[in-house]
Amino acid sequence: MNANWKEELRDLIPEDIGAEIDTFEAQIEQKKQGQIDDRVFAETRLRRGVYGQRYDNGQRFDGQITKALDYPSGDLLKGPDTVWDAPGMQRIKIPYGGLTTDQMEVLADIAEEYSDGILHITTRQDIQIHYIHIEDTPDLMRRLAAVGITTREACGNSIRNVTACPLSGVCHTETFDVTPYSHALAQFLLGHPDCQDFGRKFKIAFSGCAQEACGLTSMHDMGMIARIKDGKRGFETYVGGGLGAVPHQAKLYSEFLPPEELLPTAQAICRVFARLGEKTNRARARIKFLVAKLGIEEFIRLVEEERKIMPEDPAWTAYLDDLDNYVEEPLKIAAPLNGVARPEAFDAWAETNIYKQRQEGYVVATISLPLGDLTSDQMRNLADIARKYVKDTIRTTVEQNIILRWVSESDVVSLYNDLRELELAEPGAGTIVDVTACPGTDTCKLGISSSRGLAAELRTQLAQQNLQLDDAIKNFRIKISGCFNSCGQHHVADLGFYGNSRKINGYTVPHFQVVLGGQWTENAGSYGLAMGAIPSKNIPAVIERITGNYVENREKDESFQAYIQRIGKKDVKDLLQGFTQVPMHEIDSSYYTDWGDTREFTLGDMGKGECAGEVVSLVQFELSGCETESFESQIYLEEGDYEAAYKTAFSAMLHAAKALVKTQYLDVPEEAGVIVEEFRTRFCDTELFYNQFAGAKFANYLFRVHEEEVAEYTRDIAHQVVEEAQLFIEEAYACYGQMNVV
Amino acid sequence: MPTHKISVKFYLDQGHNIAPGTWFKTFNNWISAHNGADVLLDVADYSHVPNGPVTLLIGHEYDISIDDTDAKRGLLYNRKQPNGGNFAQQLSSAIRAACTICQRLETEETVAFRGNELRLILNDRLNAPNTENTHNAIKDDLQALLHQLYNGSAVIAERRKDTGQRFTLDIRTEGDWSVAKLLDNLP
Repeated sequence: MNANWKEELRDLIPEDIGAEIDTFEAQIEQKKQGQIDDRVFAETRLRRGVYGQRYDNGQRFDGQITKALDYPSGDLLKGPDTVWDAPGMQRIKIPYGGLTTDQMEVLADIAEEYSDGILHITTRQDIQIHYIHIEDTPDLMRRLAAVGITTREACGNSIRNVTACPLSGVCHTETFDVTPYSHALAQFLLGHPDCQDFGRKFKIAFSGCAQEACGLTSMHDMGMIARIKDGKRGFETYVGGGLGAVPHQAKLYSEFLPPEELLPTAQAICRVFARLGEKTNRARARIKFLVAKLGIEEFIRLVEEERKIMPEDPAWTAYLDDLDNYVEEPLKIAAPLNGVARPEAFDAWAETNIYKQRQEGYVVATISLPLGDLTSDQMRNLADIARKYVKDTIRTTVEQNIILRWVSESDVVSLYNDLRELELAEPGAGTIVDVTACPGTDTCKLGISSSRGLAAELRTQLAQQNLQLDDAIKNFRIKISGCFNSCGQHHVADLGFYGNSRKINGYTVPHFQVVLGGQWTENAGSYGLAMGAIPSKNIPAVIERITGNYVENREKDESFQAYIQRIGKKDVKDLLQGFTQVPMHEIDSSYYTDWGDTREFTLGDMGKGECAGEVVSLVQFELSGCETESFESQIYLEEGDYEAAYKTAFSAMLHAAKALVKTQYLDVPEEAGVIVEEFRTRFCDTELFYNQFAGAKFANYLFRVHEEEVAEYTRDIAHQVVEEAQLFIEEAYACYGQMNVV
Repeated sequence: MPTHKISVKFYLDQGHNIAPGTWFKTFNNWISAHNGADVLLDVADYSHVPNGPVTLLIGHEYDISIDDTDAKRGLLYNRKQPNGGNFAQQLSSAIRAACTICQRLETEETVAFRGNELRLILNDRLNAPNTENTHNAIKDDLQALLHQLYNGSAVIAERRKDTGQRFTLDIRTEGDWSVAKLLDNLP
């Protein structure tokens, strides 16, 4: 019999994390047996970062016709209209972008063994791998968990990766290092009961200062900027920002939130969002719409009221004692780069890819990754390089790069030579050639135009022209999204683009909407203006025209944002006028295919996106979890572990009761005795949990087992409770159904 | 059996300069023309990433890529789903599949593959770690297959020793060996 990762890594995975992954594996098995509803399973896997991918509806347009993809799994689905065997994407949360070398190696390994050997850094510091089979995901998660990485809540209607400025702790302009605070908040909210009933996702970001871009707090659901007041640390806190089709600038929630209030305030905001946020209309379910609807003053009042009634949690302040334990250390002593021969091209690389830390003698080196991609070999070798120069001080960035912090200046040439051997010494980090793009039509179901295809083309063209480019535009940011949902963050770029299409001459032609003058600095300080749709193939020429016009006509020291504001939309339209035309197909068919693709363009491959998750009520979701526990109890019974079978079956009943109680009493404590009594009072005595034919029979199962003292766990005793648990859960579903009817 | 996750790479002898767009088109045409029981589902362009999969044809049972790993361009066949039979049979199937794909490319594009050199990867660190034990476990099956493949010619099989890597053997022999000839020799 072959070995398995569960046994192999048992001692390296924390017990609770291991149990969560085991449960997910059991849910996969249950789904295969038809025991979980498609929508519930979709949201279940999304909350483990297991995402759908283009063509997972079982069809693909090949340029002429749409062909069925006949997967062996047949009709088995892993979500609505999502075929079981179709490969998907795994999103891996990297809180504040922090990576260790051990983690990098495991990431490299799993990309090689379960994916296509490519790792993709996202615009929110996550890592994504593609073309994953769902049945590989539990082992993949175990291997990540063994090095301290979770995929939990990487997708779905949950708290997504908590991001932070990648220069935190080494930056010249920061107020203080936000890293340990972002880490504490991410850990506190991970799996938190108050964050399980959102209508949409919730994104949090931290920034060390107000003026730079790094944290992008203004475009987040909740953003924190480090502040000092009266010698004490705290956060200027914002809420209700977001991009998407309708971008909103975050509103000021508090000018100064002390660290002891950070966690409880975030929790209170989550509770208000869960309670009052839109659940039906997905397009208006982000918190930005709730804040806009209520007004920021009313929103603050509600959060403050919520804060007052929340049960005290020691975790709110426990992290404060650990803050001083967070220390980053260099591997090497600080020393200047004296007299070392500089290889050709080193200076150009150093000019854009080296940032001098505020700590004398140390620098941050940026590894510029084309389209945010690197191979498993590169990742593994980069881990070796990191070990040579730094101590696990590695981070991903929202510009889809990787940085090494705390490199001694004396090592910079040597580091450059090592990176060059891996072909990871591309210059241009943070400049116009460092184009950011979401996955777009390559793998995303919502992608309209090829964001990555365009980004690759622009990167190639601009890198060739780089030396000739005027200094005024060299540090422009170009950001591209495949659709209006803004995963490429096009609203905050100097030159932003998002995919759309136009019907021309009977053909659908790929286009990009041009969005100009967004502000990257000041934490995404303002959003750009949409200027019109241009055929994809004309975008490089449009960039040349706009940047050329800016270089020629700008006033002294006039920023691009100010220039766009000054000349106005009409003049920009005039500039773009000549680029909107599409030649007849017979004359130039290239306009009818997209960048990086050879097929005739179509919208037929689009599917229902999963970024919105599935709206599954908290009770439904929790009852589904109880079913999984019940399923596990059956497995224990089969395996002859009667004590585990008995206890797991009881736990399933208890959690089902708790799920119902929570509809009336959100903060019901974890203690079994309290849950049982609350259930008795609220559901049994009131006959809400009451079967038309069997009366209180099913409720009594729970009461009996709760009071029962078992001397010996026999098969018969365990078997009875396993059966009863199944019936109790069925009745809980029926009860919930009745409550909703009423 | 150590694993069914077997990868085989043959190196290009001619056709190094073919543009990624051409490979993309070819693989996309394969999806259109495909009517086998296996599923070919998408083409990915990774030509922007050095020393990786230049163009990738993704399938359910296997992937195929024009692969630049170690700066040596070739055709990589990567088996993902079990293919039936014992390890020797799965190994033989993987090499046959890789040869067949190379031969098809030789027909459709101006390329040629060297049959005298191949890379074998066991893409499964759990069941086939990069150790001498794994090497010993597959040695007999491998030697028997290589004996047939190369008509009993002397063959060198070198294991890559880097511990972080997957179990990888670089296999070579003297003389001119086309993939067509290898296919003729396969059991």
